[in-house]
Amino acid sequence: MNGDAMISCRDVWKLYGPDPEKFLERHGGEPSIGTVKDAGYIPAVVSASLDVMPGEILVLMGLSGSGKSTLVRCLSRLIEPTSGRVHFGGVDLLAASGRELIDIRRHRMGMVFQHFALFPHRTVAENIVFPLEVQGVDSAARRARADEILALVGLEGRGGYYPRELSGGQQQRVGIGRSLAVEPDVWFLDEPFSALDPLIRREMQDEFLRLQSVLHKTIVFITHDFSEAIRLADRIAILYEGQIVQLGRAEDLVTQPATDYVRNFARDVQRDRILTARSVMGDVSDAPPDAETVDAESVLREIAPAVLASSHPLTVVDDGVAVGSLSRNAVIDAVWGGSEAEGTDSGAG
Amino acid sequence: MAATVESAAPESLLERFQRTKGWRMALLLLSPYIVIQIIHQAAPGLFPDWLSKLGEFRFLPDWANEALLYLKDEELLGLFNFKDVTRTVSGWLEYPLDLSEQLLISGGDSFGWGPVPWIVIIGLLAGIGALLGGWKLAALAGACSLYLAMFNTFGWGAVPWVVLVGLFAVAGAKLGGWRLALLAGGCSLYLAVFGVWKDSMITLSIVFVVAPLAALIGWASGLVAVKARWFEALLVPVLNVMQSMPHFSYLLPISVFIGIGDEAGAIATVLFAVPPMARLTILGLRSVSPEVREAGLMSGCTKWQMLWRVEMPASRPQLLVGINQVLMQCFGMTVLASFVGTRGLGLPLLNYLQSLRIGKALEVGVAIVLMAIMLDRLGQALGARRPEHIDMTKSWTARHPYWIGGSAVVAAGIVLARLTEYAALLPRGGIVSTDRLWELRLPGTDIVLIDGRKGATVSTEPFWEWMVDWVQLNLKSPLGHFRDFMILEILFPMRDAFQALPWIGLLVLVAAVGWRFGGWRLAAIVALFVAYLAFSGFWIESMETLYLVVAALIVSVVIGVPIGIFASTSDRRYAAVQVVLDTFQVLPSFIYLIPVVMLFRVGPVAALTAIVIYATVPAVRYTMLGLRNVPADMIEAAEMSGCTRTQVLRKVKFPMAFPEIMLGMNQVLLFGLLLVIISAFIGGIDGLGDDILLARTEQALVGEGIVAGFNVAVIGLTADQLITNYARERKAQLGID
Repeated sequence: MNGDAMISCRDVWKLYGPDPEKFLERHGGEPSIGTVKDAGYIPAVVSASLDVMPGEILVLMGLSGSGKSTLVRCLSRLIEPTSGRVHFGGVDLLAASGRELIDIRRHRMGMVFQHFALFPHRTVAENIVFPLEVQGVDSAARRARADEILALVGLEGRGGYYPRELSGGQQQRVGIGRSLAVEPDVWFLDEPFSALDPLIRREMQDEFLRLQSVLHKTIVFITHDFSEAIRLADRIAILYEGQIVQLGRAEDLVTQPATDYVRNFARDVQRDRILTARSVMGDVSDAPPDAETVDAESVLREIAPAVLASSHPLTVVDDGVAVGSLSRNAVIDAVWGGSEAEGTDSGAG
Repeated sequence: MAATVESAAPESLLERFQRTKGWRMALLLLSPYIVIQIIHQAAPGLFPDWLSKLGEFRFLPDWANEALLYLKDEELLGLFNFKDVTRTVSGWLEYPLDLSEQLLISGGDSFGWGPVPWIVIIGLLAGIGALLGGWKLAALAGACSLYLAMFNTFGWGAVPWVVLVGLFAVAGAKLGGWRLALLAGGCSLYLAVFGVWKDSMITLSIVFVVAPLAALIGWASGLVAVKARWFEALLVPVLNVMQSMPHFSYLLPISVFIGIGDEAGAIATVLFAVPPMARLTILGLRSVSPEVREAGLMSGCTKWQMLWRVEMPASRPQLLVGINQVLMQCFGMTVLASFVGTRGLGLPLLNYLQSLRIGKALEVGVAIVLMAIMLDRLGQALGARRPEHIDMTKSWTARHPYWIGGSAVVAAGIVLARLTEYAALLPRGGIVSTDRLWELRLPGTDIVLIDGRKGATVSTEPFWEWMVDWVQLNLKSPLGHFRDFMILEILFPMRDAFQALPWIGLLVLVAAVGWRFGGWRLAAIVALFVAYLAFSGFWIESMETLYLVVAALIVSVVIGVPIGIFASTSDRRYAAVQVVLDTFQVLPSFIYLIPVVMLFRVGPVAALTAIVIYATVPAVRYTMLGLRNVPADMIEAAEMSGCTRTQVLRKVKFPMAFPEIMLGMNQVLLFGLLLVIISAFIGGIDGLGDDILLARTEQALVGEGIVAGFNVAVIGLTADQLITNYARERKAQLGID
């Protein structure tokens, strides 16, 4: 367990089938996927371990049925894991009593749902302050908080409306508002923008990033859309058949995919938006001493014009210290050539 | 080679059987039955009598008779008498029934009756209102009870009819705009003007008491069923049986244990109306989306908060549908409860029908129809309402127009009632005076359309009588020929064929069909059902009932399916037919007897006609539904393959819609079974209905009357099990949800 992490889970399993605890025990807690399937169990989450650091956006990414929704529900204990450990802010979540769990949810967790999950019989404002209502906050304080949140999510003046009277994007703003009403430490978002039109989705992603730049929550965000993951994530965990096949920064997934499954996702991304100077730089001695400098952390798209316009490699600096060099060929190779075998055909398209 | 042979799992006999289709299937299913019939006919010596008929087997009816008499007269376990308990319970209903009747029609000064002071009652009613529907309902309940408390002390009596008519119109306006306002106002005005005000208000006053009670019990049992598995396993079969029992089966034991009168009818009505509410509560709570539930959990709800603040409100639409159904069931049953002496609209209808005063019966019938439509449309509009935001920039008066309108109606009505007593209470039509003050004649004839009597009420009886006479005069001979032909050439031979069925043959047939669609389990269940019928002591009667229902089913299909096909071909026709069907469906089943008695008087043809009218509704509805639900791209694919319209219907739409149409047949059968029992009232038909009706007058036979009612339920459940299993399997094959 990582003591600094906001959420930390180790060896979390979720199996569906008859008496899964007994089954796991019989196989020493670590059966192979083949054993699980042959025994007729459905492996929803397989030995998942991860840490979510404070203030970080961790994206769980996978196709439908990959177990990402189940995993996030194990982290919030909406679903009871079959085995494993989950620590939440230093507390053993799986050992928490019903009362303690309710308390944690009332003060420290917020969740946004794919289909909004708004209460149809409550107005927008009543939906937003529902978590406050169930913990017994008085109505004056609730009203004040509702106004704050309405302003935060851009729904001023809509507090008296009912969910059904709003558009999909607006409804999800309500869902976001409700999840933020108690100022939670951790924010779970379960495919929050998947049910929206592409244009609205884009707008909501911007809105999400704006909110996070103000709020600095610890976030677990689920999506099946790789480009959304890349746009929003600090780190991405790719799930396949219940297993975390790779966990790392977008750049790592693109440059060092752990499996062909990850490689397939990474193939169609706009690499110039993801790769940083650091990941493609060459030896520091290749650049002439008087060369212009670029920052090691900047993505290629930003620095490409400068590099391509220059006849010689530029110096890559990190905190003012020269750490490498970047030549035209390196940039062209990284963005259009690719270091992988299929680079030629993907480059043509 | 060997490996490939082994890898294909050997097909079981059941699987092979279930793969067989069409005529071969039918032959396979029928073959054991045919073999039995052949042995039965050709070599009766080989076939012991008891395998064919068990008519002398009277164990169950006799036992039931005695059990009921025991419950009625003896002390249970030597401790208490069951009948005393039921009488006490019914006594509790006396007070609210009294109160409700005083408010609506009779006035009186017994408010605060008994040990409970009126201020407590006002508080209680308002409290219940607040719990169920917030401050608005609380205000309404409070106002009603305040009216009673205050106005009775001033001797102002019941709420004036002008106020009630006005309030119905305002309620209509609020729930469904001016059309519904017109409908509700118009219908209630009819009740007032045509002399059935008092009866209809008595009916309404009973409904006002029993509907909330039934809704509450149904809701509570549905809630427990959702939360406790074992209770659901117990409740659902009970609901199944209860909903297949004929109405009279509720009235029979009630007449023994409660007696005769309003309370008896009220209790039967409550029992009758509980099942749909319980079902819809279960459905509603189950249909709350898992995400909404999770949102509640993540907001930190306790179990209690989850139920009251998330699940209950989120299932509100289904609960409101349930309440509307309860309302309509209560209305229908209250009318029918006149058989146990419950007052209201049913009682005059019963009397007029028995004395063959068809004109008067029709007038009351129209009143029942209008009231049913009014209640149903108001209830439906209530259920269809979705919350809407309130523009807080508007003034309070602009935000609450209907509350202000309603209050204005009440105030104006009360003032009016003080000025003229015609506005306060209407005399009962017909019996007030025979002096005609005015009359409306059909122009150019001496046919009286409306007969205005002393007082504010008028009667349409002359018009209806004229119509009945006309029918008698002009249609008597063709109708008579038709009736005789039907009875002699079709119905009696069919009845004889059904009665000749050996029970073992039917059992084998039903079990084979059950095996085909649901394996051994279903086969065992339905075989058990048929065996029960055989040993119940009412085998012959069951077959007599079944034959009439099957005959009605055939006619209903012949009429209903083409109408359904026709109606499904255009949106406008579909909408129009839907309205007609909805209207037919809300009418109390009793109503269907009136025109039938007018045309055929008594006998199986009259009963058949009533059943057909009643049961064609689901035949049309399900045909329409099935055809409309065929995916549009499938029809387009057929059209692009060059199908003509008939080919599209025959080769694509009809096969796709067939499972739904079969479900319609199922409904036709269930509807038919219920009505065949009611039509026993018009006489001239044998079967289970006769036994049930007999028990109504002979207390020693109530036990077997209940057994007969149970047989009706078992026949219905057998068909229901087979057909729903078939439809489920077929729909799964076709990939329709």
